Amino acid sequence: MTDHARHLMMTRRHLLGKSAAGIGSLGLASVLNESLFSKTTRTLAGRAKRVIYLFQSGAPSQFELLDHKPELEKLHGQELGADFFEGQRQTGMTAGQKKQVCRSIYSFKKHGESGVELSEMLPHLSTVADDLCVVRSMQTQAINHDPAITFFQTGFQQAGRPSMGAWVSYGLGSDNKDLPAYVVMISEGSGKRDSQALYGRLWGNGFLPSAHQGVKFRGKGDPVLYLSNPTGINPQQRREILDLSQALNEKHYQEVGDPETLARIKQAELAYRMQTSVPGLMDHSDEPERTFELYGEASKTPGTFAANCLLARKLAEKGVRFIQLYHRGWDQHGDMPRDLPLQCGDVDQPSAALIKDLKQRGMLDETLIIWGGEFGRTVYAQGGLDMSRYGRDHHPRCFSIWMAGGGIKPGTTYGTTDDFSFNVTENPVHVYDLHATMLHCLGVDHEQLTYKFQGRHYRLTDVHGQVIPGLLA
Amino acid sequence: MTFHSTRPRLWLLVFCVGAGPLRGEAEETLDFNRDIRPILADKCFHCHGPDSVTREAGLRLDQKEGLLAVAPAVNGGSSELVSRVSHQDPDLKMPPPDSGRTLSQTEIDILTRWVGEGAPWQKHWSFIPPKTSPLPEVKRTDWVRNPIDHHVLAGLEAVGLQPSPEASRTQLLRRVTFDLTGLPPTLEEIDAYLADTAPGAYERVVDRLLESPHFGERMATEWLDASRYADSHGYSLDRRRVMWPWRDWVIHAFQQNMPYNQFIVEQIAGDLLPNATLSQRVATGFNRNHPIQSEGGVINEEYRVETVVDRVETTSAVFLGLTMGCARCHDHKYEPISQREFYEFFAFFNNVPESAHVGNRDNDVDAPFVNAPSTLQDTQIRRLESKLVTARDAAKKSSDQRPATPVETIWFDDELPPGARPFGNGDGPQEFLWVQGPEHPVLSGKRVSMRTSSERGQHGFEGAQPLTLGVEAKLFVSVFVDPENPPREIMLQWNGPGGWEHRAYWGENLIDWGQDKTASRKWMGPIPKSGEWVKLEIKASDVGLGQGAMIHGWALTQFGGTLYWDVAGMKTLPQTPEEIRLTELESEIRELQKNQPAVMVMAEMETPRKTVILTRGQYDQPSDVVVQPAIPAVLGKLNRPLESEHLPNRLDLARWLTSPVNPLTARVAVNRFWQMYFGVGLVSTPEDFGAQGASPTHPRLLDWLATSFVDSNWDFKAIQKTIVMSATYRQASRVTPQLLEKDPGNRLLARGPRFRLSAEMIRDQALAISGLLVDQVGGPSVRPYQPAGLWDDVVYGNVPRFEQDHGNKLYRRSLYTYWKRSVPPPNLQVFDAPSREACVLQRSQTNTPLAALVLMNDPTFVEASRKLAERVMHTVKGNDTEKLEWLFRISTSRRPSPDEIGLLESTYQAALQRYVDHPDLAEQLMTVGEASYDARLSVTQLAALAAIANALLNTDEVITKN
Repeated sequence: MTDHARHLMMTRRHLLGKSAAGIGSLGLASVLNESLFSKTTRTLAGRAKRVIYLFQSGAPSQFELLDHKPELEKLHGQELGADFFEGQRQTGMTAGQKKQVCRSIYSFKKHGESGVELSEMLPHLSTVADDLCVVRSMQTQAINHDPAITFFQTGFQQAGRPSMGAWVSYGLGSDNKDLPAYVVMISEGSGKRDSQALYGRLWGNGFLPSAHQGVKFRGKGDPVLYLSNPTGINPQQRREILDLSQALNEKHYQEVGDPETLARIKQAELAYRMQTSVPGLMDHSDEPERTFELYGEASKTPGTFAANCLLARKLAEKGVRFIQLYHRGWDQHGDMPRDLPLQCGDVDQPSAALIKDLKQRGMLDETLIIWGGEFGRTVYAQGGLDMSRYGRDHHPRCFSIWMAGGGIKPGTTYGTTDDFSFNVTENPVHVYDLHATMLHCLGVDHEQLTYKFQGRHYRLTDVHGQVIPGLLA
Repeated sequence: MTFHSTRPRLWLLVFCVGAGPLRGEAEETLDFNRDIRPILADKCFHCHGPDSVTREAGLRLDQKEGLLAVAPAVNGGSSELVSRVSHQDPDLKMPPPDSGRTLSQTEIDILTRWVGEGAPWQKHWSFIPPKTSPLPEVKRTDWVRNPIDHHVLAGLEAVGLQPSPEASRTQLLRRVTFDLTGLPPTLEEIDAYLADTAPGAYERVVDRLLESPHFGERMATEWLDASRYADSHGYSLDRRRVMWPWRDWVIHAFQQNMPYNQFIVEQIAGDLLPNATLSQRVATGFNRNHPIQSEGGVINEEYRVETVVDRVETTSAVFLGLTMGCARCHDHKYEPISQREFYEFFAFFNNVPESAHVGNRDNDVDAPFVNAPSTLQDTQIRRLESKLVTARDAAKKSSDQRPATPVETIWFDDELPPGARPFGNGDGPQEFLWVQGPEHPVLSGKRVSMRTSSERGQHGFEGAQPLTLGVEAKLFVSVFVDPENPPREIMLQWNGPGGWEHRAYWGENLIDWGQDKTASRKWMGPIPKSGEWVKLEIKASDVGLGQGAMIHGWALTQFGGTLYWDVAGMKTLPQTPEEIRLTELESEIRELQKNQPAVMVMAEMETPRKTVILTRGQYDQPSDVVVQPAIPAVLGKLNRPLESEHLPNRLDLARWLTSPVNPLTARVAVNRFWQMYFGVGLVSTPEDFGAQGASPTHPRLLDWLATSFVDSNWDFKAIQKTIVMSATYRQASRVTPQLLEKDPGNRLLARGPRFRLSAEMIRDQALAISGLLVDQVGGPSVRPYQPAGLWDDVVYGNVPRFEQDHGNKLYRRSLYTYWKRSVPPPNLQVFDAPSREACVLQRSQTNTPLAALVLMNDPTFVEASRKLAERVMHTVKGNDTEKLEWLFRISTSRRPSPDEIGLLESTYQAALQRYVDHPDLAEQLMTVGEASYDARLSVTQLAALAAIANALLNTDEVITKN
């Protein structure tokens, strides 16, 4: 949506219409002054202009990827008693079983000058270790997928709140004229067929105006819903039909004088432009061969994580504010030795490529990349301790993610967990803190980005959240 | 300073301070609720409000005592309030600079002026019961049609605005037809209205629309958002659920003009009404429309608490306009509702015998539920039941003529009855083993069934077309016991009304199914004589099968031995024709009842669940404070008899909600009705009538509407009629530069409503004008077109993928579209239809490129365009211009201007030329959507007209209520 069209829409319906009181201090400024909109409403000197969130849906295991636990070699097979859990809840899936400590079958090494420690399953990421900030002390509230992913995306376990991308779109607006401010892409994991659901509310606008919802770009079919003309109407025909609609609209505007009609004219034009701009973006055929070498062969196949990473870079270049990728298939309750290498094969090279690509284009510093899932996994094996078929249950009390670029301190490992990666021992980072820090990198004070709805000023971070200075460059 | 000089300044102020209340009624002095409370609520209550935890200095400005302790000027000196808000010292200034809240100079001036006027205090406006005020004086009495107009006009005149002239007749007809039926007027309806020049023509239209079969559907559509109705359970698995009988209840209630208080009582507590009917129990589905978890590993209590919280939030928002949810974790920051009161309200909904975790199959339900017929089934059942009494009488009388000799009916011999699904289990063959003579004994026909087992073995069939048991029926089958290897036990078993719990056995008691010495395991005698065919006869009543019972399956079980069986059936006294008629009637009714879907409803546990305050709202942190059901003290008390023996329950709550002393329910309801017609309510926050909500623009009008609604015995249709009959509603909607500047949101109502049609109306209009609409009311939800693969990202495991319907189901009204919460219908969602995961009382109105794409390219709209083209070619025999005029008129309800028809013609000619040059394109266009096209017509002309229709469906005028 263009700034001007958004301005018209917001002006009419939200400033002067029903909820004048509903706009928080930051959002209000953006509505009142159009020029502010594209330049952002930052109150802080944030470095990042945009976010690329590489969400790993299903929750990858920290033990096999980012949180090295050498002590487990000794403790492997040991049974954990009730006193170990101190009344902490477990999911219904393993609450009744014997809990045996389970080591990782993968080795870890320190990489780069910074010595960031990574699993052998992440060879490509290891080459950009000095750009990474690995956070080992993430914490969340929920223990099952649906509430946990909803919480991660919206700051609340129950559906209905705006997603973080919608908040960013609302607070900072769009930086481009032909594309939405918030784009979402989904890829299937090779490792697991039975993946968790990903639904519109995860990128929904909640109670924010619906212009802020994420627009899903699809790898199959129309890249944006209803983008293609029907058979029997070619582009020239479409233009003529649209010209007729627009001429009638303009006459109607002369007649009734409602600015909403003007907004509709502009939106229809944007729709028409998207009919060419979006497929153009999705078409990677004019990329040089070295791009595909960088992102991997899979980047030639639309809809893969690799192709989506490449598209993310192109969207970043076009000024899309929040680019969210979801990669499914990480819910490894069993068969981790079979499935985890497949998942890493999907994401390792393209994730590293995205960092390198942005860096060589001088864009890494203004682009915040975040990689991680909705919670962690348990130190004990789910089911038996068969090391050819083992898996792990859900664990919300600590897990690992990594970040790069956009004002984040490179070559860092932040936070520590105990030998069982069961509790955070140092420098916890709650999901609320991550949200606050992310907004901070974008130059937004998370306590000031508010929206009044049903009698309350809402924030992404609710009444919580602290910016974590240790993560900042 | 005179009032006349101050008022305009106050107006100016109101327009500048976005947050200030906008008023459409002339006011003379500052009003506490209008001018003062909003400032205090927004800037002061956070630290000096209802929440005892964050309260500073023990000061409560939300209560009279606290405020009046600091507000009035003391002994002619200064007021503490004024002195603190205007203080220069940052340590003393209020609000403190670090609070993130500041008062504008205008706000400080208003507070100062109020103190100067003696600081008069009022209870929050919405907690004072509404009362009727005398109608205000107005100048243009000729304009006024009913009391609504008195109130609106007085407000306009106070600021020097004039109402707009009445809308044109076609525009008004189009507006009111959409508003009352959700559909556009037909050309016949337009012509009839234009031809009716007698006085009262408009009222006749309104009366016709109020009785239209589409009125109920239109009103229900609004209610489905409020009630978070959906066809799936929500959360991650989001499987199919069946709540549409509840949806049909809503349509029916509106259609029948059920009094609105009854509408509320039945939905909140229909199950608790004396002798509750099935319909009243179905109504309580309102409080079961919430999402239900089915993810593996969830902790039931966690989601049960969420479910009850959802009920509290929905009920309080929908009926009371209160946001009680905030008080779940702590005392409310802005409303006088404590955390304790939240859980007292919670206690009303906490006694449902539910698990909050639903099974993992489609259409699974979470108890409690009832089997409820669809409207169609219901009508059929009632029709049949009405014949039952006569049929019974006739059958009874006819029994004298019945012959005394029994007749035999053979159910199966060499072939199983139609529909039978054979099975076998236990020891021996896993199916029927058919054998023939001469090696084996055969009694009848060519073959017999045989089994040899060493212990328990069984075969039989189920699912067959039923055998209906007649008068004094006996079931029979012949068996042949192998003398070399006799079984130790033989058991016969029938699949009837009690499932398979109808058994008879011979010999030892080794098979332990059922309960001994009952119809589920009845001993008949020793093992029959071996080496010959013996006919076993069982009185059907001995195994629990009465006259008229139907059996669908038969099984024979043996313990050890070798056994043959052959020719089975029923021996019964012959029925008279009247008895046969009765049996048929009863079985028809039973069949209909059996196919009734299970609908989730409310019910009470026998022993109420103990409700405790949950610390910080967490399910796993119960406190030891036990509470009883109650309403928040600020709203008064439940008016229940003193001698009530039971704890207050939902019925008490429902009765209080609809009692005349309730200050909120009627106001909240009429405000939403108003919003339906004007786009914005008189209170612009329909879910929030509390301290943080908007003040009414026309408080006296709101109260008049509320009191007259209650006085009319909550006559739903009457209040709708009052609103649409008003001169206010009938105004033209033209936006003049003056109005745009003075009142861009049209809150003062100097013009008629103008806003985009709802998602459902936009689609339904396309279906209606193209002649595709199938206007059947009610029934299971349908799945019209949607882009392929949409569900792939959300379905998980074995949850079924989207399967599109065909034929009539593609063209039903949009409120019947299957609503999957995780993937709402995309072509409705883009026009702001909500996901239905939570209660929504006001949809946003957005305008995005994605919406334009739907109108351009969605097969729904493209198919409608080409069917509209076909319709015009069938209907209009004249030239192209006449065809284009007709297209324009059916889309907009008005005739085009010469300019407009010129635009249509030139685009049409260009399109026609293109399709003449490329007839393949025209053919392709005809394949969009599943409806066929009339191949006798010129396909190029059809395609060119379809292009024009596609353009029209994408115009502002067509998708806007003018």
